[in-house]
Amino acid sequence: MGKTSRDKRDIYYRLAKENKWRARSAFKLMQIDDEFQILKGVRRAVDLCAAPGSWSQVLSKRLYEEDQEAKIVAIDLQPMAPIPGVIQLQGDITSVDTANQVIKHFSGEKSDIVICDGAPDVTGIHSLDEFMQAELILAAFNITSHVLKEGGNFLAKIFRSRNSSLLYAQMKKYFKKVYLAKPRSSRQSSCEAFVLCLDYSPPEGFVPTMGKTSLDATDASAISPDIIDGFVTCGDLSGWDSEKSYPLDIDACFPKGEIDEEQKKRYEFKDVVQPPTDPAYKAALDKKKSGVFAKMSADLNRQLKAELSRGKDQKKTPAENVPSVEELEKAAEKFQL
Amino acid sequence: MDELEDNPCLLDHLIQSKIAEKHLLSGKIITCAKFDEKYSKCAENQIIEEFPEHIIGCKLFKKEKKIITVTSRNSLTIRISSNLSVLSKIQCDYFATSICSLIIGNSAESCHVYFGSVIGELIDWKPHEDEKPIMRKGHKGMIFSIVTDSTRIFTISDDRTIRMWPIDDRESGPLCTVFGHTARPFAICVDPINYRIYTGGIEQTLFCWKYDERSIDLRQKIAIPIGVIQKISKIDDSTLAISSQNGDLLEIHVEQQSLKSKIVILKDDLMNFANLNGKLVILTADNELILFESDAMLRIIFRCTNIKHMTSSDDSVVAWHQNTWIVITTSSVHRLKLSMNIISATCHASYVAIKTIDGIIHVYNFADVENIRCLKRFRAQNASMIPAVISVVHDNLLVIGTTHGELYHVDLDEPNDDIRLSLSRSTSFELFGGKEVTCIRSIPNSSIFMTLGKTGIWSTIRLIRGGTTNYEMEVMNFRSFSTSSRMAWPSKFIEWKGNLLIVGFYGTSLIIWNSTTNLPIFETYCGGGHRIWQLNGSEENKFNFDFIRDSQLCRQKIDFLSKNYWISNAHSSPIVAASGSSNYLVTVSLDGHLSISDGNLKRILTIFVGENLLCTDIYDEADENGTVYILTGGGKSKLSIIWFNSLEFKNSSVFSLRHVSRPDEGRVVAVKTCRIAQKTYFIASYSSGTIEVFGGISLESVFSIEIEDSLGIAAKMDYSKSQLVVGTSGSYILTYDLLEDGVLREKQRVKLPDRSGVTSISYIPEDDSTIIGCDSGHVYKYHTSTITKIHSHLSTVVGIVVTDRNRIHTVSLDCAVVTSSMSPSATSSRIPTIIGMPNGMVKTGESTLVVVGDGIQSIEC
Repeated sequence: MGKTSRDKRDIYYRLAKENKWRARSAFKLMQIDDEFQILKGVRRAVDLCAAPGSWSQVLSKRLYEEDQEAKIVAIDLQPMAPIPGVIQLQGDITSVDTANQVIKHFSGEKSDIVICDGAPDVTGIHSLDEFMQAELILAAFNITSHVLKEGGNFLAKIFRSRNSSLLYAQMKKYFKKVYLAKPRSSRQSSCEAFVLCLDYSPPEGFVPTMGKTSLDATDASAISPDIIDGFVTCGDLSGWDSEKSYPLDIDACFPKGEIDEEQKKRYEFKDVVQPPTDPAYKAALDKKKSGVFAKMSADLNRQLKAELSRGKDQKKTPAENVPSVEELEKAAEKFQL
Repeated sequence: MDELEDNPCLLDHLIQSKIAEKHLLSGKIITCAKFDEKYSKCAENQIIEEFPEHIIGCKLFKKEKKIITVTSRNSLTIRISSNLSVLSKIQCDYFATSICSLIIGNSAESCHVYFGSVIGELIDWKPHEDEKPIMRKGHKGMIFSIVTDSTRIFTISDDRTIRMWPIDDRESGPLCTVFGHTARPFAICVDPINYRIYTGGIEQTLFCWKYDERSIDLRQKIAIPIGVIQKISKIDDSTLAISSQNGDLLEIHVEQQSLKSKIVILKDDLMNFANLNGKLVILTADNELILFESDAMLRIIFRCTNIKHMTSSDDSVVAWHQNTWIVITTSSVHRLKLSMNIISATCHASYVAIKTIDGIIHVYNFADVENIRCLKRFRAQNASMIPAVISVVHDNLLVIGTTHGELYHVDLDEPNDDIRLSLSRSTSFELFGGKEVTCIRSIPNSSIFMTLGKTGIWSTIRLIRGGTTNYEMEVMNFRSFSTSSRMAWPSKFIEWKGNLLIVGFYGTSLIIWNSTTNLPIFETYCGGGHRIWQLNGSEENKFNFDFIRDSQLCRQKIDFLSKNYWISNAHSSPIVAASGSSNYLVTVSLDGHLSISDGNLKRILTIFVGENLLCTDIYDEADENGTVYILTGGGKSKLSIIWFNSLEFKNSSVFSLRHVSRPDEGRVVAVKTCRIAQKTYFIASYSSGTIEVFGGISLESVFSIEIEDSLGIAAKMDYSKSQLVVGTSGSYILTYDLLEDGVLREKQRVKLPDRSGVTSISYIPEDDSTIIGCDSGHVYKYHTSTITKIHSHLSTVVGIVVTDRNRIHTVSLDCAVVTSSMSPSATSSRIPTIIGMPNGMVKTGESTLVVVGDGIQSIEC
């Protein structure tokens, strides 16, 4: 057990570290692209909520390495380590300035694709999480409507929950095809999926806005499951299964071609490529590491001990309910020895 | 809940419980999540904000008959309180999303609003005065809650800090910032009278803080293992209401005065003491044994000098020095001399066991004062063995637990029966670890008893009559305590109002734990170094905790209702799986708890089985012995089986428990009980892709198969009439024959059309068909190599129930239960769930569907 237990339990977590992807989500984009070829022919791409940058790494590898003229813009509030071929904007995706900067980087052209692997901080309060996710997707769509060309594609992570169908219905107004894509690297026990919107076709007279968007449909119960054009599982069945646990020594169990005996070495643990850069709890974490919290607990105990010690000086107090003389006499008779 | 009438604010804490109409307070304004069934059916007037608009605050101005609501998009609406019609709407000029708010002020026109945003800004807004709101900077993560004591406001945030801000000086930063939480705090409550703040969150701990003009100091931490704390409200000066994400609701008394005022010193210079039904026995530092008529210590009944040692039980005391010993029972006092010196002694009721310097152990009975005699005399195999605790089981069997973890027993009715070593130190190592047995409790009218030991293990043991005049000990179950119980050293069983409590210690704290409900009753810091203590009832819910510390006899009053659980579902994290039968409902959660309820959802018992439980199965079509079987598996590669007799279980909570581990196979992802030709097999599926068959309760492996890699793992299983159907994560349905010798023979293999993994499955033996739920949200029927779509959800299907009229009920992560029939053309019905994250659905009782997840919801069908 210990630090290798997740390596055994989660094959994509391990593979991401071994292949230098910053997060396991890199495999999700690759599997969706393998299925739908959404990155084929793309010369301008936008990655929203990009940090820590695993999706931008995929864009860099599949676009920039193929075509040095391809332009990739990554946007996030969080800072990000540099990635070759990726222009990083640290900004707010709900800001018009950010949208204008994107178009400026594209020399006035619009993007071929917009992808968004963002997720709000999940609190576990489901109605709140659901609402925050919807706001994030709508905000992503708002900036997409500014920067995406007609005929372009939009891919966003979505948690399929109580009111998600309202979002599908909304996307159907602007895109000719809306699919739910579930990569094999996404666990089946998760409600996560990706809404893939193909062929951006805004209705006549639509004016992009960065203001809050209202949904046209408001009752999730009334929306039929046929609202989406299909649920597609992406990824080769002979590939890795995210539900399965694999032994640490992969080569011994899954030989691929000729392997020298010397290459069968013991599993070597690797750290994650990119831990969270600037989380909200960073200050609290630093205090914990320096022992501030342990000291607080020790101080509490010392306080309690001091209070108990002062209690020793307190005078003895007679117990309650002093019995009457009659009761004492009666008890004495009972215990004649 | 009758408490609602006395404490109206509790209504805000309820999450999943249905509320009777009489409790829905007239004139109260309630905001809640959509589909929250408990409100929408009863409220007279209601409005629904369009999703994703989210009401995050509400305030009623009674004199003006107006209501203000604020939403997550930072808009404020003023409504008429009688019919909720809109008077006006004001949009705040701030566009980040807010998730909490605070509204203060005396009128709708002069109100003052605070928003807590997801990026950590505190928005200070006077909607009728400010053209732009004021941004108050400080927090670095989303703000979860804002409260006020009318001159200051307090906020808690994802950056784990609590900050105090002035109200009047709107340009200033926080007056004070404190750390202390190590995980997200979600709830904060302020008590302005006592200058207290209470916070809680993921740590399942209540933090008590004291504040003044410039600082906030941590004063107390109280562990509250009911799940993630979501809301804290003040009820009165010393009482809080706390609710958790799972819907648990707890009333807790928080002390305002210091600890020392709670402890009374009764007497100095004591070495030992005992309370015997109101009489007090003390052993002083001067080696004097004194028996008082009451704990007022006013009248001496018996006195003896030159006594140096003493032990006691609930009903008796034994004290000794060299060859002189004193025995005090509830009705008699005896002074005796032996021919040799005594090393140690222990007692239970009228029985006393002593060990003398020649190594022989003697057992006496003092029940018949006219005929005191030595019942048994024996020499232990282990010369260093000393009896630590004795008890009588079934009126005639004496059981002795030792300081090294051995168990002896003897039949008192057989004059010639010798003391027998039942469990040696090595055989009982799992129970006691070679350490002291601390308590033996017999179960009335049975030959079963329970033990506690210093290793923190609680076991149930049955004495079985073997050959002529001989008994054997069978360990039925042994279990450890969950870490949240904080029970490191269990010492004693206490019965209280039909509940079995366990009293023990954790470091320097006394812990009282309700083992029937798995909930803490009381915890107090009592200092280290002492282990001589007694707990005696003085009133129905109040007990005296008497203990000796630094040679002083101290008393602390304990209120067993200082933590009063109004609602509890026995799981402190979401329920991940359930199984049901006509008589029982079983639920398991990641915190390791397995809870067993009857068909009416009344909980019988909660057991800590082991961390990370993931799946469960129950089988109670009683065999000839009336045995019920429950299987659980988890993320720690451990398979557990629990079995019991129904009558024994309901009367005394007696069950058997056994584990087997498969560390190389990864997680146990599915379990199933199979009955064929009077044999019982248990099948487990692992995340490595292996399916293993165990033969009977010995958990001996009789067969295993490896599923091919391309098929995925056997994610779900169902069994009936010798047919095992398996749904895999690779989108395959496999069917097997289970042969009488436990071998699985594959019959059929078919692939689902949409390539998504199987997430739920149900086999119908009557027409040999299988209902399959998938990650895609589709529900299929598989029959004679044909796959037909029944209906669809928009998210993962996590539960399937097929009822007798061939109605198919499915539940999905889109929070809907869809019901349809076998025919694809029939119409289906859709019911939203109250549960926000369903994880499963089963049938229990006569006709009850149960959806589990964050809580339990029952649906009649």
